[in-house]
Amino acid sequence: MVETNRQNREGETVKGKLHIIAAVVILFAGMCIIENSAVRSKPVDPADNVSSVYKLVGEFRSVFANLLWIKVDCYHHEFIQNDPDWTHNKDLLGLFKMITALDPRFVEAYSTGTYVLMDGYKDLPKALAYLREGLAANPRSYELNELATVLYAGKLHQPSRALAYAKRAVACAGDDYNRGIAKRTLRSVERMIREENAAKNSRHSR
Amino acid sequence: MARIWIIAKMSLLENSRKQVFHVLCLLMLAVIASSTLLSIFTEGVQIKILKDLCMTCILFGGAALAIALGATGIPNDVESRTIHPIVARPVTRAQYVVGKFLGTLITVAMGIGAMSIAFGMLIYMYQHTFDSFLLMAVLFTLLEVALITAIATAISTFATPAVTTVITFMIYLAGTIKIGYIGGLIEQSTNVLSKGIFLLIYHALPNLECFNLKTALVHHDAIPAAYLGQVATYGICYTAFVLVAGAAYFASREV
Repeated sequence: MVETNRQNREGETVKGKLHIIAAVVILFAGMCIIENSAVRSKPVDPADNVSSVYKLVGEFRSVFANLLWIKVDCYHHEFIQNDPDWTHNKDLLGLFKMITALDPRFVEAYSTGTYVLMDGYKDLPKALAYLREGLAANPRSYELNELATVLYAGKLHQPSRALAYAKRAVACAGDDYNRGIAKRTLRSVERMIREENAAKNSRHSR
Repeated sequence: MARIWIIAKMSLLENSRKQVFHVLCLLMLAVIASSTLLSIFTEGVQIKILKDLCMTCILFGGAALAIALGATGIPNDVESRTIHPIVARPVTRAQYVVGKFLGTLITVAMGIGAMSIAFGMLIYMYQHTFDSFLLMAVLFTLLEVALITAIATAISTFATPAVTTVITFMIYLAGTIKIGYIGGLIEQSTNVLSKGIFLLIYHALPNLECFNLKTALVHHDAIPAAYLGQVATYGICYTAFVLVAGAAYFASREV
């Protein structure tokens, strides 16, 4: 009798353990399925790049980018005490690139870095490449679209290529002040295209 | 349920009297308040930095509280033998573990609540409107912290507080880089065995990055409700999985 009771108790214990193991396995399997489904349905972020720095610092990446930006601000103010043209501060370019590698949504770093490449280094292809990288991560940024317009129309003298950016800058402007600037830039680009076409026509007619 | 709630209340009282709770809360509140010193920046960047810094503070402060309180609850009871009168009553070990987890979670939620109120007030001061997405971002941060609390509570059933703190912190760090780093290792590995090991590690580690709605809060990105639902279900499932495993081990252990 005692032996039967002991065997029953042991049987129940084994049964209980099996139930727990089954519960753990079912929860783990369910968790894996839900996780895979959540990862697949994650909204696509154009800023999700493949830089190893971006991957390695995980959730803290934007904080590191912000701290670097604060440092950039200190260096910038030290620099303009001696030279008012801040685009000559070429040493900051490395920091801008690190900031945008950590946080590709940092529009201000992209725009300031592009100005340094454009006016400081006078390297328009590199400035354009950097700006395009910024636009790929932030396609709806007013600042970057406006800067692309200035770069194409003002520096590269290609107003027809600047037109799309100028129109997008008007559409993305967040307030009336910026919208006013974007509209004036768009009008200038349209005027440049008209003048360019008129010059072409006059050349053809001659 | 009533027994779990009694243990949770006891744990809440015990945790809210701990110095580490007060110090961490005050420290994080001071960091959030000092974010206003960033007013030297242009307004767009200032609000971006403010939101980034405050959300990270809430998350990091919550995680630190969860690890510090979760790692000490059960081992302290075992060490001081206050667990004996509890387990002598009609309370199962599983109920005790879940009660301890709930008590710790409520304490951490109180700290996160205080930090979130301070953050919400700062945002209102700068934007003159209340950002409704802030509440959603804080709720998902709380879910992430609940997961970390569950991990700390489960590990504390078999390890000392120091070991629990170290292991939980390492799991927390690994969980934040899981998709980018371990996901990349799985893609790159050609060997079936190594791929299998990486897959096991990938799924065993918590995916903490999916709870991060900070970028969406800063840039006003739209997040589909279906995705939020899946992430919430995943968080609850993982928490339950860890607690069941921890309670199962604790039930078979001598105290």
